[in-house]
Amino acid sequence: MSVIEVAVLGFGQTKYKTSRADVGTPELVFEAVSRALADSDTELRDIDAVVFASAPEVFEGVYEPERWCIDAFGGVGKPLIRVHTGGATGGSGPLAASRLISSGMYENVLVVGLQRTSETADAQQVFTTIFDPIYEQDVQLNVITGIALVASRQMEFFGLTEDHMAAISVKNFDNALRNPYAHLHKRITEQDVKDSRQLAWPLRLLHTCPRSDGAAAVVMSSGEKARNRSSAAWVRGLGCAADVYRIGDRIHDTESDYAIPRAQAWSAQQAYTEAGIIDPRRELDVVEVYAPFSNLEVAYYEALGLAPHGKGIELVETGATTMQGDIPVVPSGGCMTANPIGATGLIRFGEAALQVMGRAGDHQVDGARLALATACGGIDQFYTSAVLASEPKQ
Amino acid sequence: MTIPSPRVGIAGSRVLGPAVELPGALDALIYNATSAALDDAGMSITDVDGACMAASDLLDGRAISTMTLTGSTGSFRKTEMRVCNDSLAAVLVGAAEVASGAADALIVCSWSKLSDADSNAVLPLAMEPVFHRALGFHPAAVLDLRRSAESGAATVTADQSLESRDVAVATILVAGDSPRARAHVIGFGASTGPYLRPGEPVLDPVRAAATAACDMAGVSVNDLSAVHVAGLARVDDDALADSLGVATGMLVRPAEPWADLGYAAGLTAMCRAHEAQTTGPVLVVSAGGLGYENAFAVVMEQT
Repeated sequence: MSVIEVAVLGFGQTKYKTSRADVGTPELVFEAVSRALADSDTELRDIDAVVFASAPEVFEGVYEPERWCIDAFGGVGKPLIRVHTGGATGGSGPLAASRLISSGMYENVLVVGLQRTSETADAQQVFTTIFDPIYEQDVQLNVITGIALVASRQMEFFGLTEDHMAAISVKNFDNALRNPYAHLHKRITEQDVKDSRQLAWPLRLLHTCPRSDGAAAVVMSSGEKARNRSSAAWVRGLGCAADVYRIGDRIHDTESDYAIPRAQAWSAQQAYTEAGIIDPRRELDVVEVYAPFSNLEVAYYEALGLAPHGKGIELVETGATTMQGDIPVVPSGGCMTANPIGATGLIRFGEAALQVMGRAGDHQVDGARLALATACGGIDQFYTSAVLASEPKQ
Repeated sequence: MTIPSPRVGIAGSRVLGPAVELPGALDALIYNATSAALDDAGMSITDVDGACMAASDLLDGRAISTMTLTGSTGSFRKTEMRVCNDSLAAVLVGAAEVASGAADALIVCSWSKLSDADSNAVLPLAMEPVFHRALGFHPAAVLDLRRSAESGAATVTADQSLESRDVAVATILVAGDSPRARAHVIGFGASTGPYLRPGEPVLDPVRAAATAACDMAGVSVNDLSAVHVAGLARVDDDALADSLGVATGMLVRPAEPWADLGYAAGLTAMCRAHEAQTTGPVLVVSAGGLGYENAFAVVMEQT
């Protein structure tokens, strides 16, 4: 069955900061949405449905924040669906919108991503409640300590070192200097990373992401509409996969190792298959990966098929993923320099769209025609992948 | 270019509850519903491509409530989507995944375990913190005020409170042309009203959602055999029927109209409508929010 093609017409985002105290939450949404509408040359009246992507509502402190913000994105009288898959929320938003369009239900869908983490006193306290309430919450595991365990396993599994992690941090912070919307604008050295405060061994402060307030929005449409536009990013392939959560569920599972996020590989493979990509390292021009910790980015190189098994660290050592390399990863600076959680995956998606439309400004990868955007939620659990192209399928 | 039809099939379904308390942990409850729906469809977990669910973090008491539930919802190594709306929204998104050809079969599920939660503590948090929350309004009071503003006279919509219930519900959606389909969902609609804006007609979103679903299905309200109503307990039958343009006698309310099923209400009503085996197109409507402003509707018919 041939289905309706889907394309991104435009992307808008806010400036990301620790606290956007200068605006209220609906105003933050308005800022992103009005930029997306302008960027896509679309009027609100042309929008048929809205997908609102925001992760735990305890961050905003308002139950069902999409309804509070409805006037800010012109949702009155329109279908409104909120998606939430943890950190993958911003990836699930455009995925849901794509299905709504390609099924023929709606032609133009606005996707809005929001998170205002500054309203929460301690984000990690929120994250302790994602775990099983009977067996695990009392352990006070949180995202940082969980990822630290993953990093220590990666050191054993494929030889990850603090040098690799520091090089990733420096690369991403350098890239962010070219992105005016990034939260952290700071030139750092590998020594700065190694001297930064230790959070949970081997993770240090400069291996991790900031807490950010921010919103993002994309306008997506049918291919028929997009063909009339001077620029559009075409959705060539989508993937989505979930993994089990409990460590006990993986015992004696030879395919499973926390060093390499296998559900990211499953998700990416779906997207590659749909897009007809056989050799992602050679065919992709740029990757916007959702990696809020430097050690995770290295693992994703392998999961995304950019490096052979156990060889992700070689991409760091050769500089292949820098702006000057053959496969730049997060030219925007990525999650490590701005992380409004529920919006973060949508930012990756929007940045990938900008790249293939040739409109990424100072962080544009020359000649980018095929891009991958990912998102991750839970503890190595929910993954989305999207392949975007500068041209529709022939 | 072939435009796919948003028509999808229902291969099986199961509702557990509603009951004051369904014993067991949340994941066991959901597992029982999803596996019973698969049994009802004559399918196994290997036959489905993923899961789409409707769930509330705050009512489940976890920041990402679906995180610990991958096994029981059936999404391990498959696609997973979650909506935070009434479960008819999960039907809509799940149907889009099937109708687009991205999935051949999908579990759509929802749950509400209010025996472990206090919805009266959660729902007022939908009021924004600066201007409204300090007023301490219960959502029912908000609805009364909206109805009063609309009618120009003080209106108390109902003097009975909602009663918390536990429920877990799942259905298996398949492609519209699948031989497994025992019923079809042929129309989808949704609409949203303004946030806390007095004077706006309360039932406008429900009417708009129902109209959109009927339009997509290619049926008029005169063609409908029944209208199954999820939630909306505080709106009387005459007002709802008048808004939808149907006879009051066509409305089918749940056996316990005052049961609060949370996000699971819509899918529960859809599954009950499926079980009823009514001939002809059937409309299912639901609405959530501080005054029913987030409305969804589907039109279904038996195969």
